[in-house]
Amino acid sequence: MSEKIVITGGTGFVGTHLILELLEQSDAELFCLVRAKNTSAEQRLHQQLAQVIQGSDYAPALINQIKERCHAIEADLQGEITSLAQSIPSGISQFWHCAASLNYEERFAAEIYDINVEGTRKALTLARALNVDCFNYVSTAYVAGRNTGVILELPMAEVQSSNVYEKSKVEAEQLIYAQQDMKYRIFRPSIVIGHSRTYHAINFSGMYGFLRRLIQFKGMMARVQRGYLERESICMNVDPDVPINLVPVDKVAKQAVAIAYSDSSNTIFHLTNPTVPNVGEALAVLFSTAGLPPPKIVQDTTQYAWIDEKFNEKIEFYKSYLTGYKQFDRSASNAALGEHADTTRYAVTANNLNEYCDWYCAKLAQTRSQVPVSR
Amino acid sequence: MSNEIFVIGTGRCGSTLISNILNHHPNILSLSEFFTFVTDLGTLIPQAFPAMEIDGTQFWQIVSGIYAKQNIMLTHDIAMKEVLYPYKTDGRFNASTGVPAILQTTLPHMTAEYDALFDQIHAVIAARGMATAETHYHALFGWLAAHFGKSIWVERSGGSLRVIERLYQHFPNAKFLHIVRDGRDCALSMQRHNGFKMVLLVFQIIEVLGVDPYESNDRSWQDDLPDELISFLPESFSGNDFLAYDVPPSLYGHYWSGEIIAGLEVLDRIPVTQQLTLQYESILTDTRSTIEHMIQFVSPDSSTNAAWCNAVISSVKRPTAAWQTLDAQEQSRLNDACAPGFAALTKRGIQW
Repeated sequence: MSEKIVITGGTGFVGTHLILELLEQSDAELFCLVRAKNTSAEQRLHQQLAQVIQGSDYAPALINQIKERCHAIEADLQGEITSLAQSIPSGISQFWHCAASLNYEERFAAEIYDINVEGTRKALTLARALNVDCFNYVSTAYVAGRNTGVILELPMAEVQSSNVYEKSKVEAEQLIYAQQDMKYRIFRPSIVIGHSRTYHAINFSGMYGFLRRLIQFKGMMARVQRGYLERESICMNVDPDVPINLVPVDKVAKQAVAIAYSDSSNTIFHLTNPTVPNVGEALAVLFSTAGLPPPKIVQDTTQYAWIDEKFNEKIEFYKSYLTGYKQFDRSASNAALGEHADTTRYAVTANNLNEYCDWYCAKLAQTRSQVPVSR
Repeated sequence: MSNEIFVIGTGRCGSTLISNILNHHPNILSLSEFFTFVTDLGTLIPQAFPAMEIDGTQFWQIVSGIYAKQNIMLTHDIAMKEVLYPYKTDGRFNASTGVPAILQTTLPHMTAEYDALFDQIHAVIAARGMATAETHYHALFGWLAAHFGKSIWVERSGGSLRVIERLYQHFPNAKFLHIVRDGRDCALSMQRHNGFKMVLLVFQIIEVLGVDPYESNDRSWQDDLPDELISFLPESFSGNDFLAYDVPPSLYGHYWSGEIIAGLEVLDRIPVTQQLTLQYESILTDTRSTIEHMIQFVSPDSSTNAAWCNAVISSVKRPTAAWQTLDAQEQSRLNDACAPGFAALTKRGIQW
């Protein structure tokens, strides 16, 4: 009899890739809790997975595996889900909780808390009702908040979060640490970007959100004064030499699944990238993609003009990724992965980062309308 | 010489004063803020100048349209002070019905019988057949001038440098009276003006949503909208938040520079005989000779110019906005923001 696994967030960025990895690396039957939107939960799930297969380098034959082994169960983490235990078969071995809100504006604070914290609480209750062997939670490396230096794969106790999103992930992790009667693993990816070979992505927060805001700001200023930002560099008070930890989504999924099938007894794993550009290099690529000169790095914000203040306000959420040296320890991850820890394929450098950015800009041009400057 | 005149300039350059004094000239019809409102504060300029021929009914829709941005400002009692239509009374149009573009300022500026004139214009325009927008505009302005027994019309809209490319394209024989004012004072005055605040807010929202939220219901990108801008979507508009929203003078300084640079590029293509640039400050400090100079350009053959000058000189008042009242940091930022505009004007021999 094949293994049975429950997954939340299966239509999300990491969730879709996790499902495909589980289909590839195991013979498990997958039960995915999915919201129905304009289409049924099953249609939505299968369409999203098919889109990811098409955009990445997964074997097209996986489509058949999806139909056979991937079952959608309509559910909404903002509603009641405990009763779903009756409609999910017994014998569930693993529960993967990937669902999360990636919003961060204050007006979403209640929703973020509801999905990320209360949603996790409900997922844990359901997992316990299903008597699962292990609860796997996809968190973020940035539960480290404003901590700097070496960030260990340990529970996060005292931490100053940079925003409501990070805070919600810390609280969700704390709910998981409190589990006495259920084995758990917490996976902490850093800033997840597109597929390492095709650059394909389906979620556009994180680095893509930063790039989009840069493009929007340039557009806004072009309406105020054509060409201004092409002539004048924006000032930023960031640490140009600290690494910015970008990790391709396929690496996150592959390593999470490999760790789950390893014999590691550790509970927290950094799914970060050892080969990444520094902030100065990454910003130069992002600004260049937007058609702007690299930002001028300043030592303090007193050197800001109004435009600098306004731009830095708009990207405030991203500041914690651009300041403060963080070195994510991967001892537990590397030990669990053994020879599979080799990550050269997933290196993100100043040289290939522009490929990810160009892919996104092309996608943006296809999906987003543009209002010409009114003259 | 042309009897079609446009007064052009950046926002808050002092051109309203020009409209007001020209309104007293016996030979001149003053068309005030016409293009401000038919372009919905300059955000729908291409729509006001369609490339294809249109019939009278379609042209009337442009001229008498009830546009979203200008009317939401009436609804929330934050209308620009240029609006002359009594929208708060039980008139034919009010904040609930919306006020047609041409009635916001243009017709009440001409006559107290603006509602009746509105109907007369409607009848004239509706009877027109297919023609270019340019032909329709010529016909409308010509009809209005004739209706009031004037030989010259002068259109003036705040911040009309933004539309000068279209004006020159559609009125290639018109004369252009360019009013320039110290950008720092323009910026400070724009900061206190609800119309320019609305425009800059809409610029920001358009870039996030990818659509003009006042013209489209598409909210696909609304999650990207910062909290501070949510109150300025039409469906969640808050007049109090609008009044509280602070845009610093330096952004308007950048806007002023941008408008000056782009506008001068067009002015450079217009024959010198068709344009005159006057500094607003000269009107204040050297009132008589500057106004005489201006009226010679606008209406060189009129025998009534001297009497008109005598009558209007006393109405020239010094405005209150003075950028020197800002604190040192804001002054410095404003100087930097206006520097590109000043540099462009210096090349044309205009300095402060």
